[in-house]
Parts: sequence; C-alpha cells; structure tokens
Amino acid sequence: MGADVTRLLADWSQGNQGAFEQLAPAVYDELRRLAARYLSRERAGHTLQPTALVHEAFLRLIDQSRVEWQGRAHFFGVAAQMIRRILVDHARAHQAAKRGAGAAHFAIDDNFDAAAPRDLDLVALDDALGALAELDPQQSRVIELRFFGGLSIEETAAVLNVSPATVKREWAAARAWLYRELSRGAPPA
Amino acid sequence: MTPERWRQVKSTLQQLLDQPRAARPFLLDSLCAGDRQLRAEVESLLAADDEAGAFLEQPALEQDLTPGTRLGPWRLAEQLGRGGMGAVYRAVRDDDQFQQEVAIKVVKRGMDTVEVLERFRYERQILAFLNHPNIGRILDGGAAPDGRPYLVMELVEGIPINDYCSIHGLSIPARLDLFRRVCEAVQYAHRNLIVHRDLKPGNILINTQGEPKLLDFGIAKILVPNLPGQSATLTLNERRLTPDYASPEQVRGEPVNTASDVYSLGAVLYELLTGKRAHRFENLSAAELERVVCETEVARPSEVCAEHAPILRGDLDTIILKALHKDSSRRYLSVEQFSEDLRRWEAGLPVLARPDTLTYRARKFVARNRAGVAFAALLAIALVGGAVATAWQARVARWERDRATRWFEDGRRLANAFLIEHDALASIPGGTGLREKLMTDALRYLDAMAAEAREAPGLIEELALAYEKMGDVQGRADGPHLGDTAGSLESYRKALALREQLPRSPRTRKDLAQTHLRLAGALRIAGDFHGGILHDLKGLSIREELFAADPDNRELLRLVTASHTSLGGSFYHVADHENVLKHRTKAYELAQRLMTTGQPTGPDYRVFMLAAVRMGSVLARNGKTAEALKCYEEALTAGEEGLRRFPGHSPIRLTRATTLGARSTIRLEQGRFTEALDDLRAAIEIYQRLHNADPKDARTAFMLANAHHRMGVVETAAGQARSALKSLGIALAMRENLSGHDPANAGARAEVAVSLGALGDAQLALGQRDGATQSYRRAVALIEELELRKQANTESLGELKRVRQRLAALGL
Repeated sequence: MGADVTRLLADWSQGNQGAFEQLAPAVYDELRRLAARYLSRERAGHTLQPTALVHEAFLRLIDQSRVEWQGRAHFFGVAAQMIRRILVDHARAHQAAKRGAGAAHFAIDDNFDAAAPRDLDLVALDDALGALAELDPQQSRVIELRFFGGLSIEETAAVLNVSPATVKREWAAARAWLYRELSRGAPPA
Repeated sequence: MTPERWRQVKSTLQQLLDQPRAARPFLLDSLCAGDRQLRAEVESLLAADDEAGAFLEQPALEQDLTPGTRLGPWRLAEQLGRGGMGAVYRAVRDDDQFQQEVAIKVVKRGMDTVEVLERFRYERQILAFLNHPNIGRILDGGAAPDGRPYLVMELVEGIPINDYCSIHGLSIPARLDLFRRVCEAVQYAHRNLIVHRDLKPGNILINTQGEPKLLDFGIAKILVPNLPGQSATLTLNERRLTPDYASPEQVRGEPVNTASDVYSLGAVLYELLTGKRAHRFENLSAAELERVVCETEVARPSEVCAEHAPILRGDLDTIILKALHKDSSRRYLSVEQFSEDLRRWEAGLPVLARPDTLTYRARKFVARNRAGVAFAALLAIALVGGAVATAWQARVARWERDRATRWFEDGRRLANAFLIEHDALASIPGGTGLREKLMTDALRYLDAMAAEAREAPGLIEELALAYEKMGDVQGRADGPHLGDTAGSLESYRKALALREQLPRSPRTRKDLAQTHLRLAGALRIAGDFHGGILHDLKGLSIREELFAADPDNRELLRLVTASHTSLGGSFYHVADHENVLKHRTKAYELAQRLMTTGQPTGPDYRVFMLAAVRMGSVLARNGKTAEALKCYEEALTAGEEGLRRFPGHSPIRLTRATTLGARSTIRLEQGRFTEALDDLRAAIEIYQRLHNADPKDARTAFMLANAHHRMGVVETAAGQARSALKSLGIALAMRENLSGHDPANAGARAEVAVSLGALGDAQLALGQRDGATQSYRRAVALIEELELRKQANTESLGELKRVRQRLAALGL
C-alpha cells in the first residue's frame, strides 16, 4: 500500500493525471477514517486540524524515505480537496437533518472553538467556490488549499507552482469575491 | 460574468488593492475609463475586501489545543489569550520533578514554515541568555505533535502598564518612575543586541508587587523577520501588528533597530501621560496605517490632555515628540538617553531634547525644495542680515558636504566598476557572464546608497537616474537592451519608488512620467498588460498636466504624443480597440502639430513617424486601406527628410524599417506579394545593419526576427513555401534564442508560438502533414501555457484560435 501510494504520488507530481485518479480514493478513505475518529472525539485532548489530519494520513500512506518535500506539497494538495469534500458533505447532511430549523451552519462538534469558522455556511461556500472555479480555476484552488488544506502561502505556491506573491494576490481577490457572493445570499457572520 | 471579464475585473482589483487607498479613486477612473459596469464591479469588490475582516483567514478545521494536551514535559491548562501569531496557555510541569507553572505560546498554523522553524531554533538559544529581573524568561521550547513550534516562558501574572497606572491612579512622576524601569530592561536587552520589535502595553505587565515584566522579547523577529522585498502591507497583514506603537520604518517594512524600540516606548509613554494614543486611524487598512504612522504629525501631548497640560507643556512635550520622531536618526540615540532625559526633567535640569530647530527646518526645506533655496537665502539676507545668513548657509553646506564625501566614495566605486570593467569586457568575447556580475555589483552599490539617501533629494534623484539607466540597459522597451526583462522591471520599480519621494517640480514630474513609461514598456513585455496601461496612464496624466501649464513647450508636446502612442500599444495588447483608436488618433494629431510648428528635432521625426505608422495600422485594421497607406507614406517621407537632416540618428532608420514592415502587411492582404517582399527585404537590410552594429541589442534582434517571420508568411501566401521554410526557420531560431535568454519576457514566448503557427502553414503547403501537426501542437502548448499565466496577448490568442481551427481541419 505505502509503496503504491508513494509511486502514484511521484507520478502525479510529475504531471500524470491518471495517477491522481488512482491516488484520490486511497487518500480520501484514509482521511475520512481519521476525520471520523477525530470528529467522534475518540481522541479527546488532541488537536483537530487539517494539517494534523493530513500529516497522519501522509505518515500512514506514504513511504517517507522516498518522498521529497515537493511530493509532500502535492499530497497536501490532494488532501485539501478531500477535506473540502468531507466537510461539505458533513455540513450538507447536517443541513438536511435540520431543514426547516433555520439556516444550518458548520458545526461538526459543539466543542469547536468559537473562533473557528463555525458560523460560516460551508455549503454556500462550496457552491460559491464552484462558481469561482468556472471563472478562475487557479483562484478556487488557492482558497481550497489555504482554507480547507490549511496550507501556508509558501506551501500553496509550491503546490500550484507559482510564486508566493501570486498566491497572495489571488487569495486577496478571491476572498473579496467569495465574501461578496456569500453576503448576497445570507450575510456571513 | 465570463472568465475573460473576470480576468479584467480581477486584474483591476488586484492593482487597486496593491495601491494606497488614497490613490484608488483616481486609478479607478483611469483603469475603468468609460466602463461603468467594470467600475461598479470593482467598487463592490473593494467594499467586500474592506468588510471581509478575518473571513476565511483561519483554516476550516483548525482548532486550538485543548486543556490536558501534553507538550514535552508540560501539560496545558487553560488558554490565556490569543493573537495574530498564536495562542498562549497556562501550563504545568507534568513529570513530578517540581511544581512549576509556565506560559506556553504555540505558534499559529501557517506560521510554521521551514524558515520560521529554523529561525526559531536559533533565536530561542539567544533569547535564553536574556536574564534580567524585569524581562520574562524563555525557559524551553519545542515542537507540538503536528510540527508547530512552541515556546515555554516564565508565567507572569500582571496587568498591562496603562491599566495598572489608571487603576492605581498613579501621578505623573510615579508613572515616569515606572516607565524608566521599563526603559532599563529594554536597555539591558539592547546591550545584548536584542531588539524587542513589538513593545506595547500588552507586553509590559506590572505584577502585584508593582514590578514591571516585559514579555515577548525578540519573539517578533522569529516570526516576522525583515525579508528583503517584503512589503509593509504583508508584514502588517501577516502579523496583525498593533499599529499604535509601530514605528514608521516598521510600518514601511524597513529594517528595524533599537531606534524602533525607542519609538514604541515613546508611544507607550504618550499614552501613559495623556491617556490617549499617539495616532488615530480611520480604518485598519495598510494604506491608512502607513499614511498615519509615516506622515501625520503627532499632536503635542499637552494639546490632547487638558488635565495635565500645564505639566506636559514644554520639555515633556519635546521629549516625547523626540522619541516619536518619524525620522529614526532624529530620535534619542538610545533608550538610556531617553530615560536619562526623563530623569533630568524630573530633577529640574535642562533636557537634551530640543524642538526641531530652525536649522533643522531650514535643512528640511532645502532638502525639499532645492529650487527655492536661492530664494530663501536671499530672503534670509534681507531679513536677518548677511552674517547670520552666511552662518546658516555654512551649516547647511557642511552637512551636505559630509554626506557628499561619502557619496563621492560610493559613486567613484560605482563609476570604476562601470567604466573600467565594462570597457575591458566589451573586447572580450563571451564577456556576458562577467557583465552580469558587474551589473550585480553595481546594483548592490546602488542599493546600499539608496538606503542612505533618504534625506538628500539631489542624491535620490541621481540614484533614481542610475536605476533607470540600469533598467534601460537591461530591457528598455523602446531602446537597445540586453533582454533582461525581470531585471529591468526591478530597476524601473526602484527608480520609480525613488522618484516618487522627490519634491514636485516640473523637472522631477517630467522625469517621474518618463519612469512610469519605461516601467509600462517593461510590464508590457513581461505580459502584465494592465500594469502597463496603469503606468502609461500615470505617465500621460503627468505629462498632460505639465503641457497644459506650458503649452508652447515642444518637448512636452513630443512627450505627450509619445505617451499616447505608447498607450495605444498597451490597449492593443488587451484588445481594447476603442481606446487604441482614441489614443492613436490623438497621437497622430499631436504629432502633426509637432511637425508643423517650428523646426523638428531628430526625436520629433521619430515620434511623428511612429504615430503615423500606428495610426496607419489602426486604419488598416478598420479596412481603410488607402488612408492607411497614406499614413505610411507620410512616415516614410518624414523619415527621409529626418535622415537628411540627422543622418546619424538611428532611431529614424529603425522606425523606417518598422514602417516598411507595416506596409508589407497591407500589401500582403491586397495580394501584392512582390511589393510586400520588397518592403520586407528593405526592412531586413536596415535591421540587419543595426543588428551587426550592436549585436547585444535584443530589441533590434527581435525586430529582425519579426521581419524574417513576416517574410515567411508572405512567401507562404505567394506560393513560395520552400523560401518560407527558410525565412521562418531563421525567425524561429532567433526568437527561441531570444526567449530562452529572457525567461520573464512573455511577449518573446508568444512570438515563438506565432512563428511555429506560420511554420506549420508553410509545412502544410508543402504537404508535410506530420511536421505541420507538430508545429501547430507546439504553438498551441506554448500559448495555452501563457494563457494559464494570464500573459497571452491579443495576437497570440488570435493565433491560438487560428491554429486550433487548422488542427481541427486536419482532423486532429
């Protein structure tokens, strides 16, 4: 398993899209399993963060001795996409359960820190990101990597193979656009 | 909205976000010229950006560490607070060795980049040596399970100094005593070469015994080092620095030193004595922070605090304002000196601080307005008499001379580097590598000098000129250059930054406009077309303003004309044909005026020719072939006349070749192949001669390649596909070579793609189906890559469409 995923990752970071198709399910399953454990508070007292999640998935899936940092950046890139899917699915299920009880917001866990974006409507954000991807795929990726993947500006730049300055500019414009889109629907808190 | 439209909106928005707030309305006007919908769109996004606050800033799944988590031997208790850099927790030692309570600061996710971690390891060791009773100690450090670094610090129970003073109702002398103890601790750290960088009441706690404790010494350096090229905006955003106590140099993102701590202490004292902050911000945008901190004068403490005004007025005002001086060299030399002056005040002794003196103000005045100095000197003589004025002038002169001496040394080194080494290199084959090194050395000198030039406009001006010349050599769009686009962009940006600091006079404004145009040209080459338009517009508006004030000035007339021509080109790249027509028509009108009023100079001829050629191209595009040809004839006639009067003026020759190339396009469309080929042959001859004379000039090489390319296109159309293969082969080889040497030149890559497309046509005409397919595919790949980077221009996008159709027609 480890060697397999490692090879796929290497292939993908060299531009092989087919490798991504094969890589994604393995990463997704692992992340979902880990997320479920975190979300069920089975491991209380530990951090719940995308990076912790991804680190753990990375350690489990990838043969450490054979991956350069570049490969790690690519892995984070895939993982950001997966985390987005997991969180949005979760929020959507929650929303369906609560339908009629007013707008449902992101609340995986009541223990969540108030400063975390619990007031953010993740389903609306996901839709808006989809619309943004139509206009500007790169901007949508920047948001995905930074917000869902928790990547730093430098890491995001490495994944997208652009300069950090570009990431900053794209981030600023995309954030303004998304904020406006979300304010038009229901005002973000 | 379409992706194309969004690209336009986004580019406009990003340019505006990069600019100070005050400049935005003007830029909005010029960037959205006439496009109301664009303007509304951009305005609403700017408003969204203003309101967005911390929207999306914290990653979706990020959660703080929970009580009970173990970090090394420490177990976390409750969170004490959180800030821009991370959160602070109370923690206890968990290995039964001894009971110890500490504070643990865990760095926020996103701050844990490789560089931060490296710095962290190194700085932590240094900070561990700081051992002063009034400085909170760093005890330990490590990395959390997820890799984030944490610092273990002495747990300080106390309240911020400003709250402490108000709660206990301390008198002014008591506040000063407390403050001076804080100064002692800062001074201790400075002696150990550690600058705090983030002094504010929240970092100066007073415990129950009334003892001050300073927190977070040097922490800011770990998290926010001074990186070259990192703008102040970034620094502010990333660290969410408290602007109230940050010095102008910090806000600007410049290097920080002990004088920055003096400033912050001054701001803290201001608040302690008046109950008010030294600055008032209308909002927290980076532009507003910079404006207020760097430009707005701080009100005298006695003016803002009626209660203590009688005590504050006079020396205390002066002392505090000296610590808060915008210019770091005018502040106290050390925290010790600052503290000592406070002591002297308390003891009723004369203080060191003086209000800004007449000499200082005069010097500032001289610095700001050289043209006015002579007048001011006359005035001084008239008012105070010769002796005083002479003494005053002598002081100014001495100051200038000291600085000039140092500058002379630097300048001499620079001149030596340039003249001696450059001459030697010219005769060595393959000296390009060395020349690059020389360039780097020269730029280093310039950068070092720039750091010192802040107060001397004359020197700033010279430096700006040096940078601009450097940019010209590296990659001036309309002059000979080495084809180093990235380098030229940087040099022009530096020149511009320096020029913008200069006092306004018609001359400095004229120079400023020129630098804007140069930068615009380089941006266009680099594929940043909207950036090009922006700087072209800035340049034009300055020139128009100067011309309006001096309408008989032929040079200004020429410059305004050249600006319009340049703008026409900029708009052409983004397919804004309405604006292309507008500016080219204007340029043509003005250029005609230039030729009919007074005696034209060499540059006048060239400007006229260029305006006429570009006008012709617009007309040709609109199907007005006869009128277009008339414009080209006018240009050629003017060229002949110009060369008769100024035979050595090679720009005229060059523009003649450009005109012939443009005319060949019309003749190609008319099917007059022989005449088109004649024009191109003549153009190639001119370019080749200029190229031989200066083989390192990338610009002529670009033009020569372009003429060969057109030749190939015409030959294909004329049924001479074999010749076309040869012409296009030459063009492609030259263009690939040029593009390979100048990776930042997006235009050059587009040209390679266009040549590949034309090559494919010729190959297809010869029945070389596989070769054609391959050429087309390479062209598509190149342009798609450019498009991905938003660097594709109108021409290459048109070619992309055409080549794709060709491929489709081939059934591919």
